[in-house]
Amino acid sequence: MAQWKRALLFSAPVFVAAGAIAITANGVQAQDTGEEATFPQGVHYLLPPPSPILSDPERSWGTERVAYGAVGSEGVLPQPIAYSHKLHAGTLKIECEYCHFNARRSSHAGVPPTETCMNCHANVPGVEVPGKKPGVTECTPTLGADGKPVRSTEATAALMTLCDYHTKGEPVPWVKVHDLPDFVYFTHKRHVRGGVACQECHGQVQDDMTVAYRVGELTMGWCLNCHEDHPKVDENYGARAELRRAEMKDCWTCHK
Amino acid sequence: MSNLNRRDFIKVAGVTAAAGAAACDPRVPMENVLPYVVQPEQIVPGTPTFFATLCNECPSACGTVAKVREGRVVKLEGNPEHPANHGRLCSRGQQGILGTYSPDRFAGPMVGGAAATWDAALAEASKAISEARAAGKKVAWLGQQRSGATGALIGAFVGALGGSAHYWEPISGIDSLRAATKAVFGLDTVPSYDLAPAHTVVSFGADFLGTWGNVSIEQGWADSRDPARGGFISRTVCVEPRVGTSSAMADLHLACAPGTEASVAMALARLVAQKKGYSGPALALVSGAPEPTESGVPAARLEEVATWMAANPSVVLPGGVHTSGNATELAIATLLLNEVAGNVGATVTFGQTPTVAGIASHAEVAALVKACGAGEVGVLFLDGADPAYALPAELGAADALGRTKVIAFANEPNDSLGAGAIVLPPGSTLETWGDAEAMSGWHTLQQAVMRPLKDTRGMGDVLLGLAQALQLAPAATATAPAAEAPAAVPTAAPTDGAAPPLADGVAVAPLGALEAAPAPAPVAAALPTLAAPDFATWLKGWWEAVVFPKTGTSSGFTSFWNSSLQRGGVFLSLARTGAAVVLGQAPAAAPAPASGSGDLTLLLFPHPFLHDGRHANKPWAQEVPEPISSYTWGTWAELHPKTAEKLGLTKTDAVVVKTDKGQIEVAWFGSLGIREDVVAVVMGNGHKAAGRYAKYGANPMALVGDVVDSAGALHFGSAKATVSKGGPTPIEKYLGNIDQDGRGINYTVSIEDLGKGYDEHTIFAMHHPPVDARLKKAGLNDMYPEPEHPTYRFAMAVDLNRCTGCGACETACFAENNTAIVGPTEVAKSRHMGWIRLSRYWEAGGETPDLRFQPVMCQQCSHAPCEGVCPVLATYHNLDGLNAMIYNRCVGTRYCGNNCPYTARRFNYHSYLWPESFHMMLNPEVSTREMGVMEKCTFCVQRLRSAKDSYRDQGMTVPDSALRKITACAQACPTDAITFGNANDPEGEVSKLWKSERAFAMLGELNTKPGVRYLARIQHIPSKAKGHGGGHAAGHGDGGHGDAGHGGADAGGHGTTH
Repeated sequence: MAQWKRALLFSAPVFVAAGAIAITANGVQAQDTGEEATFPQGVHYLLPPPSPILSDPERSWGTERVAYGAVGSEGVLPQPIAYSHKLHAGTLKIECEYCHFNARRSSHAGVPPTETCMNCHANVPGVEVPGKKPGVTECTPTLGADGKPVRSTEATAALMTLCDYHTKGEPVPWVKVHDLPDFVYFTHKRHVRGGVACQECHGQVQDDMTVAYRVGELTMGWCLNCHEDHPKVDENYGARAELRRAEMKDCWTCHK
Repeated sequence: MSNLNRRDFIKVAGVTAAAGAAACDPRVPMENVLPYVVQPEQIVPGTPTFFATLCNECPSACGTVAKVREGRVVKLEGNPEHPANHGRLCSRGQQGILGTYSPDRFAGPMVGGAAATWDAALAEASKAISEARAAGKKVAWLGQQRSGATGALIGAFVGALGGSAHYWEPISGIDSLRAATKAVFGLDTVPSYDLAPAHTVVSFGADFLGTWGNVSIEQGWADSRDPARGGFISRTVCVEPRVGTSSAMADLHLACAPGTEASVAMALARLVAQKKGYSGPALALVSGAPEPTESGVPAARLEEVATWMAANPSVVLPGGVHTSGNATELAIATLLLNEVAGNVGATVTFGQTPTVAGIASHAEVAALVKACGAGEVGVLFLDGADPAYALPAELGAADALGRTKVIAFANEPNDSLGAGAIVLPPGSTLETWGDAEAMSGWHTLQQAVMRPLKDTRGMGDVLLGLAQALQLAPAATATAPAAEAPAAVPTAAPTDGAAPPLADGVAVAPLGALEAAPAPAPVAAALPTLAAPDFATWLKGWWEAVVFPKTGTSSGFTSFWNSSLQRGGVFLSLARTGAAVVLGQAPAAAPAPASGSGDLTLLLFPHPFLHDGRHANKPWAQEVPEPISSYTWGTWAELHPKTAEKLGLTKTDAVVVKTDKGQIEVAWFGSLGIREDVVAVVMGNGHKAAGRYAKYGANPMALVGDVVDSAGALHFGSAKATVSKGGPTPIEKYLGNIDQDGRGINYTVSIEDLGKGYDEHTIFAMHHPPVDARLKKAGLNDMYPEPEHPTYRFAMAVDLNRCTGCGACETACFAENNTAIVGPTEVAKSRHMGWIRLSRYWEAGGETPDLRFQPVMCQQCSHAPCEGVCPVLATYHNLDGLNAMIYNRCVGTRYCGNNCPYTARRFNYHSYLWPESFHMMLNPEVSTREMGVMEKCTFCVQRLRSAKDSYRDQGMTVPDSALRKITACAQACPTDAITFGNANDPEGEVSKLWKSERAFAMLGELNTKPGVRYLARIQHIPSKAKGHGGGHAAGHGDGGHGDAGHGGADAGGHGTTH
């Protein structure tokens, strides 16, 4: 037992010192070449970075998300507009690809340009849209005969926000719900064309989600579950399904 | 502590570390996803769009295709429709993108070194011009070569101000060639040279595979070498005192004394005339040419060259920079030589020729600068020219420019922008509109393919604005055709000087052929005038008046304009003709001796990537090693190892090169091909104020005086120099050894051995892989099973007979794969990150230096030594035959790199970052790598996957035609030396090349079964292949192996990274 104590005694100062360097110096640049300005090099920690809350006062829980794993409806991220997939895709039965129109053509499914929202919202009562009605310079709520907004206050406020972004010509700053690491190259095109339903990864957005949250885990193991035995592979590739499954497990399928 | 053993320590340390890691939460910052407000029609996020445009990096004006992702250009490739480059692009052209994203770009206009608004800067410029005119002083223009509508506008503008434009290409040698053509043929032009049909290519110092030529010259040369294309294998003869890229590929290098090239050419002309029985008008001019005894060229060799030239079509190329002692006389001599060899009208033609309008000789530029110094010039416009750097220091250009008002169209700082300069940043080639007609009939359009990154205004818009502010009378341009019909009003005029939005460009895909149905020529529109509201109006108006009528298209101008934009321009094929000799008197071909004190003659030579120095602030140009010396980031002097030995130099010494005019301290390189009485210094580096990447090295223009020849061309080799030992070397080298040391790396093959049915063991004397006796007994050759490649075995063939060592593949790899720029300090530590290295080995001993280039990328071995040693399976063999490398799995043990016999792997010793402005240029399809990760060539897996993805939509595998040029290196290669394909496809191009008798696997005896085969270079030398036996005992290769000279040059190891 004595030797364990000594081991702890020996190793603890090393880690305390290293940790102190990591926290106080905010990382240790491994080498000073004298040419940092022209040929910048990254700063690296000797240890994994400590809790970001401690190390960086500008980071807070309000601007962070859980990196991976399924989150329930309690993990909803703050969105600029409380857009409801349940209403649009569920009740109104708008096709997924009406808004996410690149899903079949490109790696990115795409978040719809504001113009796409306005295709409908310029015409459904709720808010008066400048440009569509000459002379209107600000978004104003559509008022009913009773002088009150035709929609609920909440819906009107959301539409007003959307309309404001559109008027100003600024993009709506949506927060990414499905955010893969930068070294992963997922392509919507192949999955959609292969017949994988949107809901298999994104959940039953049309039934459950008043605001989108992540149902799929987005971990590598979770991806590989399907890459190993998704029934669509047999359906699409027939006799070559075995080969296709082997190809789909190549690391270079997603990493490059 | 005696009881604590290492294992226990690691256990405890591990537990502590794990506890620390567990304390870190898995939360990461939220990211926004920003959609378009109105999505442009052509933009599909995640999918690139391609636009045809123009390369402005040199006067050749090749066509490019810009790959645009979400509104940003991420890569430049050649335009397959363009006749100048047929889809290929040289290293300098690909680096054009760096100018757009340069971190040193001006944010907006500058007046007197301080930022200004456009209104203030233009008012200042306008005031300066008015004052100059009021004072009766000249307004002058000095800039890079411009042609087409752009050139017409400059001509009209400067003409209206009473001046003329000086287009200045300091190292092109075009001024002397133009004077010579005028003297010999009475034509004010320069000839076109066609190398493809030539059985003998003779160059008198013209580095036609480097800085003198362009992609089409290189393609012509490679085709003339290729038995599969022309049915013959040309001979290349280079007459010059040192070995440049072209001499490195020569079959015969005649190291003449500096300045004697003209007398050698005249003597050769006399011999060819005799052998060929020439009786034309040039006979009297050449028949009296004396023996060039002082040149040091053996008479027997000249006889031999004359025999080759008399027997078959040939081409003779005129001098380059370092032969310009009597450059004009030499150019005259080469034209006469072409005449007597019967090449004029065949390989040397007129009719469709490079544009020379406005080209100023060195003497005219020097006179202009002197006039500036004398206060005679009120305003000097600088358009991409940097006289303070590129003129001999003796002229004092920097001071002279201080005595005039400089109005500079420059995006980045340079040495000529003194304290008082008005800088009007015009935006990069990719951000602005323009055109060029570098070759008569080839009209290339430059369309703005992305929005300007800075507060810039196109040069054309500024000129038109100034013209209107100064109320210059609308002036017709010089080449006005009949102008009767009213000008059509062009559409899509950009507003406020900014380039029109991306949507105004026209995507090139699909590249359809322009329908040129014969039709009555439409009535020519009027030429635009200086009253045009903006440059887009001018450009379209000029095209409608000048280009449109030439084509005879009946479909109307708008559809002609759109299809021209889509194709990248209009390329007319004009008749190519000969010309009659009018010269009355033979040129004085006496050698031009160098003057001054010193025992060596100084030569300057242009850097293949930095050119005359204009590309010095481009980090790829600095980091990609110069092919011959493998030096990066700086200036060096070439010396013969014997000269160096006499001076007692070691490889870590710098040398001081001193002439009567000045001295510089630079590194040195031991070149086996340079004459012992010559020192050659590379140009292009040593800028004073040209950005962060251009501050290395020294400017050799400090060494030469302002000495000109009879036609006013600068004599770059005018000085005698003394070389002495300096301090430690200030330059970083990349490759070590220049000797193969007997390893079977790069073979060549004698022309006599072709078609004899030899295999690689007989033709190259290559070892068989060793086979274990037990395996042999079992009837096996390998211990490991062959990997399965059910669909593809991606493979490559590199034809070293076509490879010129130009470096385009290396640059393409940097551009495609987000390869880090590490800088000189890290390069010195062998941490260069380029995935392709251009290995060059020098086989000593022969009369002609046997310099061999070989692009070495990851060989994608089937039995890869790297794979087995990876402890974490970060590298493995995949089903497509690729040796995959997974960065996020790599833990950085570097075992793989140590085990790679080809040194193809690169390790990230640090997280090398880019300046922020370069982030927009990174390829979004490739991960950037960080510290502790191994990386290597992937055969551009992202491009392969994208092709597979497109073809899978149709349920197909990728056909051979789509694979052939799919990797970035194969796509760029100017000479089509690199071919890619699927080795499983027996009909594929690569399978056929692999079966060539010249094909060999690098270090084949290791039995790594690489996915790359090299095709050996064909040499015009006697056969040495004797079948099995002798070659094995004596070592490999067919040239002699190292001698003492190598050690003097470089005793370094071959290691690059590890």
